[in-house]
Amino acid sequence: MIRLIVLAALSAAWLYLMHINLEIKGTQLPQLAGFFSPQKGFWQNAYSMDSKMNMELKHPKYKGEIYLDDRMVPHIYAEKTEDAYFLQGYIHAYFRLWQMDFSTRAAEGRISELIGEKALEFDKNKRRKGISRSARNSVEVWKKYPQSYALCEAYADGINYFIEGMSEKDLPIEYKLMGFKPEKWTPYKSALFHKSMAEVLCGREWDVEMTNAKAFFGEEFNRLFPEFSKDQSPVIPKETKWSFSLDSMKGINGDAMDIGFLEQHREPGISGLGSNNWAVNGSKAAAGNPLLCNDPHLTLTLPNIWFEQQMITPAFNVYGVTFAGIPGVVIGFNQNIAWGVTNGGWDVMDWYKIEWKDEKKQQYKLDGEWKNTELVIENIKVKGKEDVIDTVRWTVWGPIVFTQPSQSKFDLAMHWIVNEPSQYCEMDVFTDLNKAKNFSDYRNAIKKFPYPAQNFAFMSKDGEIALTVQGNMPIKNFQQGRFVLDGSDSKNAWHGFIPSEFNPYTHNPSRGFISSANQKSTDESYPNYYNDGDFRDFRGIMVNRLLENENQWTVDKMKKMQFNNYSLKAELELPSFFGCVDTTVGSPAYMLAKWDRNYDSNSVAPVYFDLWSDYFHKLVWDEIYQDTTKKFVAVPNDQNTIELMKANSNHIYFDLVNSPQKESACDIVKLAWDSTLQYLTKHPGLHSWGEFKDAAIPHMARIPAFGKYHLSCSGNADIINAAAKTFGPSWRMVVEHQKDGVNAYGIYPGGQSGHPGSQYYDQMIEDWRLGNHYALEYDTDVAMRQKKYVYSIKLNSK
Amino acid sequence: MSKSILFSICIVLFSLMPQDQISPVYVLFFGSVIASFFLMKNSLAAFAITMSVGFMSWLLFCLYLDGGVQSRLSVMIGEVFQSVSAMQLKYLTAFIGGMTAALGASLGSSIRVLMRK
Repeated sequence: MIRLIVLAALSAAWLYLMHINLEIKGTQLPQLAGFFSPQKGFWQNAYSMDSKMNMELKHPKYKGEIYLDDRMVPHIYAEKTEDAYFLQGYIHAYFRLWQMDFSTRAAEGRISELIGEKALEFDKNKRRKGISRSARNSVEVWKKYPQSYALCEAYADGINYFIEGMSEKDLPIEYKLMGFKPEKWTPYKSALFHKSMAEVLCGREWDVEMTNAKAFFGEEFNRLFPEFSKDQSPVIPKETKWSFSLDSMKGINGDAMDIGFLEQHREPGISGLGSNNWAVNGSKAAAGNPLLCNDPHLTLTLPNIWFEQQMITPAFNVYGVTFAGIPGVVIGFNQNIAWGVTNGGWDVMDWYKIEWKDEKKQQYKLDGEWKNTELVIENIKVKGKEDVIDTVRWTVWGPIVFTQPSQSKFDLAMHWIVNEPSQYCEMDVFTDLNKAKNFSDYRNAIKKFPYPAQNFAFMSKDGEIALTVQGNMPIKNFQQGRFVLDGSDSKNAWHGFIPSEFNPYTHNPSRGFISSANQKSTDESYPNYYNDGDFRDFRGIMVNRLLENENQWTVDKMKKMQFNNYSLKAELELPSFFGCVDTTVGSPAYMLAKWDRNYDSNSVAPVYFDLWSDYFHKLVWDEIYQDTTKKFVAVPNDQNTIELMKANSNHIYFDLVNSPQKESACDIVKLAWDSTLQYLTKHPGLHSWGEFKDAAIPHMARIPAFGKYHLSCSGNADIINAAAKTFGPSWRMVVEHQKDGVNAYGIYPGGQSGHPGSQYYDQMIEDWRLGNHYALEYDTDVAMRQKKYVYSIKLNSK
Repeated sequence: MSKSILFSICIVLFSLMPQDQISPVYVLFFGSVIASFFLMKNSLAAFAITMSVGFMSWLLFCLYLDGGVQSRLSVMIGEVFQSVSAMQLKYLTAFIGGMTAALGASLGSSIRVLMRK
């Protein structure tokens, strides 16, 4: 009996141990019973990977075929657009189900229910920004466009068809590791994906930092933070004339914005993301064919954000990259046109200082009266813990996102374009672009794109080129929204939006090319005020310089240009630095004097320059960097710091705060150089830029084993090949429209499969790192494809 | 002897039975309890047989799954579990299978002994 009891107890303990989530060094492990069992644990993922791709499926409503080529790019053939979108949803789910599920749950603020309370602040932030509320509102608008909504539903049906057909053993490995299951997909989730991309691309602004910089620098502010730099080369050529004016805006409430230093803490903004696109017409190409290139720079992850595909129906034949989560091709080409996007960078997230009536924070002042807040209760599920309730206060401006415990009298309310009501079904933009035949179709398609503002580059087979900065552009007073605004005055609201036909654009410019690289959209002559979300000058100047100087462009030259590693920042800074240190033969700085300014992965000179420039900048602005209370104060950029040095090398800002003597700019250059040499003496193993940068492509959920680390890559931020440590060209595409077809190339750092064990998970990274492109197999004939494919999926009607 | 062979076959079947809804560990455990209850008198022998049969069944199963398509996944999962090698993962899997079956079988034969008394 005792033996039986002991055995029963041991068995119970064993079974319990097998079915709980153990924790090792803070990492929660999956249930051992399910995870290790060969029947449905991770071993099934090892087996099923890449081995079950030939399928014949049945569905009562949809039909079509998918042929997968040797890089697992699906070529989707269907008779109707709904069928094509169904199959797109299916193949997205097949390869990227966990990625699309996880990213939309993240946008919704639901990660705590998957990984526990460590994600609580992340979830609160998403919910306070109102992302899910905005997505719900968008879907209600989409329903007013039944044809468009039907396409979103077809896409969702495809995903759900895959989910319903899968068993637990087929779940992607991340589900098994994290212990959750996929949810039914709906158009709401596609809307969430759109909102999350908007957060990445137009959720960046520096209002608090600029407000504090204005208070800190006083009269010097305008000189150190100019709205337009003298060397800038805007997206829309400088000579462009505008066909509208906003004279009626002059004199409206322009002075009520100076509200002093704000001790407001919040999440720091992400800087450096950006993209390039450009196109040349036939007059600048060796073969007389127009060429278009695009490389969007995003945070690099595995699985990669992009998924490559072709869709062929009687109505359109489009190839390009898609987002797993929304229907249609986002960047790509068809027989008639090609298009690419970069971020417009407009600041469409403004902050308003709210004055509370009392510590309850339920009433705030507006136009001399106390107005009630709308309280929205967010119930956040937390894995292994009780639910957490977060009360979000909504004002007339928008939600209170960050609260400062030490402040009971004021907070900041966020007014963000994403919380503005939709006017169209945004998904129509890509549906229409995918089938566009000419410039007019392109313009009609993109006018429905509300945010994030994008530079839509265009090229047609007829040789037309164009670029439109498309997005809903708020009408603002001069410098409205550059700083935190007074939220007690309703006159500080945006004054509507510019009609889309007045958005900046250029069509067949005389210079023979169009381009954008996240610089300012226009010069000062544009009638509406828009400010800096995150404008960058260096790449734009370089792109335009190269495009201007060459009139015999070829596909190969374009490919090389996407991998151009020349640093304009080095060209600008080094002459000023060299005047202060010894650069004669044999001196340590001689290497930099001889350097060709290219950030090549195997070169060591960029390491010296990057460190030198960084130390210099931090020493010049020690007033801010060394003062912890100045964490949220904007710092002048490299360009403006060098301008200051050239204008007055004895300026007070070059004097170090903590030294008794007075330093000049040259003293700072020398100190920065000494620090560089000291650093490199302490790190004798650094022999190349690639090694120093130590680039990485982490897994989306930061599971180290599923990421790629220690990549030796050329390029850096603010260089055309903007491959920085963890962000960079997420897709490189070159398209040439020839008289008899399309000649296109592309690559992204990852692989088509989102399954970590698959050979197609990361197989393109090495070629991407080396600057190689793959020929894109653009089908025009199903018979040709049927002779050349690796796998096929056939969907028949029941 | 024949009962032992039959018993071993039962354990192999329970080890390899495809499962989707129920935890394979429960199936293997309770399958071993039942098989042992009807077929095994000696709980020590039951433990020894099921430990080795369960261990080998799961070891061979995961060797088959992992070896078929040159998967890199087991190496990655090893890294997730603090630098465990792919082979160690297979042994760990096999141990879970063997121990689950062995505990179930011991319990089953002990119940049988108790009920016979």
